[in-house]
Amino acid sequence: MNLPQLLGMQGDFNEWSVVFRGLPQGLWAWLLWIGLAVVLWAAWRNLDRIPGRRQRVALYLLRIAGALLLVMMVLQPAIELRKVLWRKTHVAVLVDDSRSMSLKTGGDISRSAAVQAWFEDHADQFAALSEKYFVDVFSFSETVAKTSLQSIEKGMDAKGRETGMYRALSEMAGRYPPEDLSGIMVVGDGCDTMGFPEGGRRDECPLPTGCDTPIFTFAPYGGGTEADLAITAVRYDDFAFVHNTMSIEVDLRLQGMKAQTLRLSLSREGMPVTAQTVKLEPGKPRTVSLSFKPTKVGRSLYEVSVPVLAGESVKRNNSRMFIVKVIRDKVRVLHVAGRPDWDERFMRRFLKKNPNVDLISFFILRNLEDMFWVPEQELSLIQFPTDELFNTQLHSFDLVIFQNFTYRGFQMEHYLRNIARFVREGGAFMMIGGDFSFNGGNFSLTEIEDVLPVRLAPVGNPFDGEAFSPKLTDAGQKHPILRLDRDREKNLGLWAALPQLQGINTGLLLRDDALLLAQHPSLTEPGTGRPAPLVALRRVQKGRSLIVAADSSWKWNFDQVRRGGGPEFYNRFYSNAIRWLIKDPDLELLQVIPGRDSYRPGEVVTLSIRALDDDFLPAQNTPVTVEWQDASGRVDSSVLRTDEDGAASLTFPAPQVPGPLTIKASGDMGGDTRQTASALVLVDEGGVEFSRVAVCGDKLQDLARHSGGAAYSLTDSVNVQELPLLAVRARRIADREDVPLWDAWWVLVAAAALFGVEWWWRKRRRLP
Amino acid sequence: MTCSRRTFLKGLLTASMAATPLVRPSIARAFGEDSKLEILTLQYPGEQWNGRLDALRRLSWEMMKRTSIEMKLSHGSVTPAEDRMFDSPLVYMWGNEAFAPWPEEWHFRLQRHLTYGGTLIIDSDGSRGSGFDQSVRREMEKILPAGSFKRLDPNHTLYKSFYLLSEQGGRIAHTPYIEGIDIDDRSAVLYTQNDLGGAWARDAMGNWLYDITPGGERQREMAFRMGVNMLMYATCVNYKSDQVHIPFILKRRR
Repeated sequence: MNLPQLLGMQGDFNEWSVVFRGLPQGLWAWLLWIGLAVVLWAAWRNLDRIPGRRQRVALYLLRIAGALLLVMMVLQPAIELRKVLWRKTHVAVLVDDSRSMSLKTGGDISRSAAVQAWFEDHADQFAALSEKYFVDVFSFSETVAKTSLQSIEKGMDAKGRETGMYRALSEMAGRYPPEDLSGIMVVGDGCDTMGFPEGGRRDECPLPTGCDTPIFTFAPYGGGTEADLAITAVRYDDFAFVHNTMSIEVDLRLQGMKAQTLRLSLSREGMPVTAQTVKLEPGKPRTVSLSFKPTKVGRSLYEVSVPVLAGESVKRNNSRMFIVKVIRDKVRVLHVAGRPDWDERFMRRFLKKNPNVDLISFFILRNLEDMFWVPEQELSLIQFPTDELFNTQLHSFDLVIFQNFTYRGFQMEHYLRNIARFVREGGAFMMIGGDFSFNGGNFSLTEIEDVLPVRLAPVGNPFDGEAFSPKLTDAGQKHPILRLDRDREKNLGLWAALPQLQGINTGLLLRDDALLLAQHPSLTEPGTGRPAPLVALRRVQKGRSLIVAADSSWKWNFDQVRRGGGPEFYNRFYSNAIRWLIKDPDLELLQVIPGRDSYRPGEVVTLSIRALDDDFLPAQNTPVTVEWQDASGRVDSSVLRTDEDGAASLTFPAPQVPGPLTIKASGDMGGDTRQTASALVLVDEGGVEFSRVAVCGDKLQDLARHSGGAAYSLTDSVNVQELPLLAVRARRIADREDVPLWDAWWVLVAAAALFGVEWWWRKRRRLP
Repeated sequence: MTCSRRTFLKGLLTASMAATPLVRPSIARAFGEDSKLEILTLQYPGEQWNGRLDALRRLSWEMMKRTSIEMKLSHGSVTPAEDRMFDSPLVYMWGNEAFAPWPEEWHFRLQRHLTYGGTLIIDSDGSRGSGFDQSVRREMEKILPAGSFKRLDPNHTLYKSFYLLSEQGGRIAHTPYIEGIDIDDRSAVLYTQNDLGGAWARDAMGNWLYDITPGGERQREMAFRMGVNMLMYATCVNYKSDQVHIPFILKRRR
């Protein structure tokens, strides 16, 4: 009869031990032992006056026995009965099925085929291994999937887009208790592309599984002789400032061929941006920096590429696409004023003091009729650099303002075409009135007239000098440019209270595709009878134009001071105008905002839609059509309906075709024109998978070395049965039960009896 | 140094091209008389404020003749109490004697005028004693307590806003400098004691009203040039200090 039976316990307990459940830890343990020592010492010292050594020892033992029983009650001793089982441990076999395994390495067959053949050749050894261990087989790429030796032997489909080797190892650590895992075998090229999972890497042990389980690696051959030129990485900032230099770094690697001098090119949406000649030595990675100045605001698709060389094993790693969001650091404004005047003065000060504006301004300080002989050295005047401004540098500006300026006399007729093209290609143009503006500046029948919101009709006097208060049109009352206050009624009141303007340019005929925001209260267009335009705007292909047909808006600034106000309404009006001209996204009626810049094929693309009506309030319950076109030209679409916030969202799987995904949205937000918006995202299949085509033997050797395993090639003669795996059997406690020794009644009775005997003895013998 | 005919013509062409149109509408019109630039003369107690009224007409004529600015030839006068002061951001003040302290309302209104973009040109005959000077400094201290008169640096934009100047000009040569009070990055108050108005003024027959001492007609021309620069500075502020102008100006000043 064993102890569990003696204790009357049922079950198959095969192990027991005495344990103390109440054993204090740390400082409490020290305090307990010190306190116990003090009690023992005090108990002995207390017996000094007892005559006779034998009597003292007997009393001392009674005290010690009683105290020990009390300590026992504190320590809660028990007999722990255990049912211990022993079983086979596991060996995890991880087989790489990423796309890089489709490469051919040092022979005519692919890496995956080599792996298949190796498993076939070692089938008997694995069968024998399976008798000693549980052999669990997994395939891994960007995910880990359970498979079997039989499936591997039948052949692998190497389609994984990335290689998550460290992540697969990490998953093994989570799947098995440490004592159940006797070893891991990694069969693959070792070229991890996903990195360590968060928190998975430690300096002292770089393996996600910990360094207690040996890892044995098997690489498909050991070569590195594949001929390949690859862009292995591109580093860039997600956003850049327009017209400011942006740099990207491109990592290049050449292998398996002799040194090459080649051209690294950068293009934006198919158009060359910059290029650099690079000399590459085989096996020596090189980082090349490319600098360029983005010229277009918005999200643009860039591509870096190197030529495909003869004999390359992989061609798709010779280019890499990425999206950069180009934003304005400042609005670059060219302000040309026909003469110094208060209107020009306050406009320049407004622009100059605006921290978001980078201003180049030119004032025409002298006319031909003002000419008299003064030596050039005594004048501060400089030549009006027409060619530089309107030819070479024109596209570096976001906005061109002609304020009471005429082109006549500067031999710049041929530059007007440039300005019109600048507008059509996405630039902004504002003409502010004055006697040199519009008809007064002879802009009729010029290319500038073509991009204005108005046509210019011949009139006798190109301006009317009477003071007037502008009248806001229905569109103007809603439009953000004229919004001095969010409240519509208050806004109208503010406009009515602004100082009067002194005169207006006449002979302006509003174009059909223009929008009139403010008009003269009584004057009309010649011939049409429609109100004379004061503030009007127009979208001209990709660009925008706006007019203010008066030269006294400065009164909205300075005359407000007389009334106790300040320049805030003047500043707000022109700030709004500039924001609209440069296409501030917040003023777009329809916006499409992708969740991310790039997606993997099949990954869920998320889009947010925001719609405003022509009052610039959320367009509720409005249908919006979204179309997306992949790189192959395939178009899909969906119709959404906005919610009460004018918002809608859309998700769809990213196309399988890598490349740019163009998204277009359109909706009828009210008003005359159907609103459109577009966005661009990249469907990227993870170019890093082929960034290095050689087997990453170094990484595999690192794994093996740190874990106590070994690195092999598939061509090595290895018997997997003889790998130095950990113990075959794992000890597992299947059941456990405690038999407490301290909470029996007799413990307390015994302690009381011991102390009682001592008391009785001392009383009877009249001891102190 | 020789100057060939070709060099001369080239120089002339260059000078004429200096912001000068070859063909302009022959008559600059503005939006009528009300749109033209006006200089308001500051009225204040006493009679001295109108001592150079005709001078502004002559300066305006010269401005029109020499520059592209369209000026009124007839200029009004205002007290700081009048709303009309805000019809023009440019106010001219002349005097040569001490004057009584101004009411507090004037200080407040002039402060707003100058702070929000106005320019005040103070012109005086400094040779007539320090009474006017003391009065001006007393009032300006109340109008712009945060600022104080400082001599303008020779590199100040005023000296290059149209002409490149190294002299002050004026009817007299009392002080070889111009003082100013800055608000932000501009001098909102310009103060000369060389009687620029005296150098500008003509009678109805076109004769100069005052003799120039000690520099003669060159000093008068410099006074006009300073007047032109002051008006250019008032309308263009620091335009000539923009980076694009600096290399040209430095080259010409060598």
